[in-house]
Amino acid sequence: MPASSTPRPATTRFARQRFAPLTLPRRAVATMWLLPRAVLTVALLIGSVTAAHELQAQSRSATDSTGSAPRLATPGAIARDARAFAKRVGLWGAVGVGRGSAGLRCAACQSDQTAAFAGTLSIGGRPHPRFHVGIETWAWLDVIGNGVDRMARGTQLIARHYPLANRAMHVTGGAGTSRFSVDDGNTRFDATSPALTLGLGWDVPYRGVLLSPAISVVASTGGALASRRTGNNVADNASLGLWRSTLSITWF
Amino acid sequence: MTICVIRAPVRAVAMRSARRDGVMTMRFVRHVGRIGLIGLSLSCAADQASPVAPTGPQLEAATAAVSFGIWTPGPGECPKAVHDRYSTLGPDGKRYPAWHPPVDPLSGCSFGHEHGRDPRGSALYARVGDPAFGYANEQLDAADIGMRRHEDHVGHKVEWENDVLMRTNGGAGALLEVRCDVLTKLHQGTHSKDAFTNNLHELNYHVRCTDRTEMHITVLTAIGRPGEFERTCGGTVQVGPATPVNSPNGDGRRKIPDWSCLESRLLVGAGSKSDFGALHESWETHTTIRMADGNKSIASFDPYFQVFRPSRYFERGASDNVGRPAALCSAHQHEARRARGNECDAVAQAISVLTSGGAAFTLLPYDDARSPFNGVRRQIDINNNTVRNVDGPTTWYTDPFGKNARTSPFPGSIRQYVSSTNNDYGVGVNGPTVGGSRSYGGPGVRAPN
Repeated sequence: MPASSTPRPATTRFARQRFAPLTLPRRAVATMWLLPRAVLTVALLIGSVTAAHELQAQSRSATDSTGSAPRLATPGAIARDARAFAKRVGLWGAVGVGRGSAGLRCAACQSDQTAAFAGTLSIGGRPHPRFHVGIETWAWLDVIGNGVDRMARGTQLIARHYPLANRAMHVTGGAGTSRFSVDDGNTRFDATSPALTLGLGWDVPYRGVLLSPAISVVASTGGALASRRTGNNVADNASLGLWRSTLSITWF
Repeated sequence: MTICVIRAPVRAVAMRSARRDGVMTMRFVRHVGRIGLIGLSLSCAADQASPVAPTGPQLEAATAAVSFGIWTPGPGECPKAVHDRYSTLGPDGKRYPAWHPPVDPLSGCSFGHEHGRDPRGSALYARVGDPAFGYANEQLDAADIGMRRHEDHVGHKVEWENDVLMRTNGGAGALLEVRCDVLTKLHQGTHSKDAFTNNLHELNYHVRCTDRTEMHITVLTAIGRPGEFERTCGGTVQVGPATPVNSPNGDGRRKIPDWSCLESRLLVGAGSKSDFGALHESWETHTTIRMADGNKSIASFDPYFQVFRPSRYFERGASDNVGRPAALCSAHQHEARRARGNECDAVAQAISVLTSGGAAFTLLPYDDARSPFNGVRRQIDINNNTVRNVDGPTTWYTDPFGKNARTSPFPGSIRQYVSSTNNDYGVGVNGPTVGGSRSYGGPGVRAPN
């Protein structure tokens, strides 16, 4: 039996505030943030490409010690390197870091998206110069505070295609599983479900590797959200939505 | 009976349910809702029976339950026949009284009492229909276990709220956003001596949540121990024998103010105002549905039903031990410490109106419609909706107290619904307070209410 009959005060813990349901004004604010977020993402991508170009240019300048004029990293030179990479076949691996936003939706879920750090790890083969296959594992971790962590992670078979001949742009698709969990050290809720990934990226050669800024979306559905503490299901059709922008380093 | 009621909640409910299922469904239901409203408007003239006053041949021919027809009008109130039109068929095929507005919309006469919120607006109304007032009491008779318990008419109080956001405890629990539709009906008489000793009160409790928790329960819930109650300010008051004398003990408690609780809060010196918040009853229920086999709990729930400014308090030595707050405002007039404040101002004004006609009133009758002490303000704390019925049947038959749950009916049993789920997630899921912002007063509404 509850001990008191007096109306209880509203919960004020930090986590509650983070997950407070979106009121109309908050929705409006959230919508207003979409544009800056998009601009930030594009800026990150452009910045990554530009930085890669700059690094490449500096690298070539430093190694050109013959007294001749420094060889600048012209777009043409980068394109030549990209074409060289594009002709390789064999194994490849990649590590990426970035930011992402994730949220879980279900009939009984607080569905706000929150932003946090994301990472990817991929390995695979390249049977054709314009076609990669591999396996990718990824994670997204939002440390909320008060011991509460929200984590999304997944493992997927991926295929990457370079649709433009000798160009660095690539699209990636994948299928696998994802898991979204919230853990406070005492109770953990999680939902595991089939997931699909779709991404778009760009390869920039740099010192024998590729720097690849990319954006991707992970979507899953049909997960059973359950309390791992008690084993009881909360909802049967939980779906995860995650988008992330990452900068990866790829080795061949 | 011809009442044209176009019910806006139809669309609201449809919209709310659509929100759960998706945008496409919402669009579809919007169209259906519009068409439905138009259709309802057009067909209103032809289909004007109030949903809670279905005076069809089936109802007219039905056997009257004990609770049917027991209300008698006071002077100037609606005729009994008008009141008795508001009825419904119970699961046993008998005719039971049902919710009605305080004022009959057709004749404009007042019934002098109210039953709370119109259940037709509840999202659960389509699922459970009108609460049949007194059905659990009737089933106690049918059970034939040497116990009878029938309650008065005016104490049946309906409350509901749709799409209630429940609160979760614990950091991880913040992931959950469980919303529930809640519809309750408790017999909560706060005008008489009944609850001083009687702990058995009819409770209809319906809840349906987004985490698939669902219960539709009708019981005689035992609130605390019979023959006694708890004072609002602490301590137990032994009053006398229960009716029936073999009433079972229950969890929870009936917290009722007595004079010792009120004296220091209401009698104040000049320049101060009485704290009429002390005039507050809290019936804290704990109901469990238990299986016959092994006494295992299938479901439980702990709503607290609170009433503000009821028309009674416990005063030992008074007639039936019932004290009347309205009389307090007139008492102690010649003492420095006496009841003061807005409520007493209203009482004084009512008395001045009465005496202006030449009558010699010094006390406002407790059942005067002008008295602010009529129990029309109430609220419910939704607590601990617990279901432990994973993979179990959804239909159970229990005795009137919610015990001996079986899958087949037996004499005096009540059919209950419990979802085949287990909502123990390791974090508490509790509801907020509902109804606190509403007042169910209306023209003519008065104690006993």
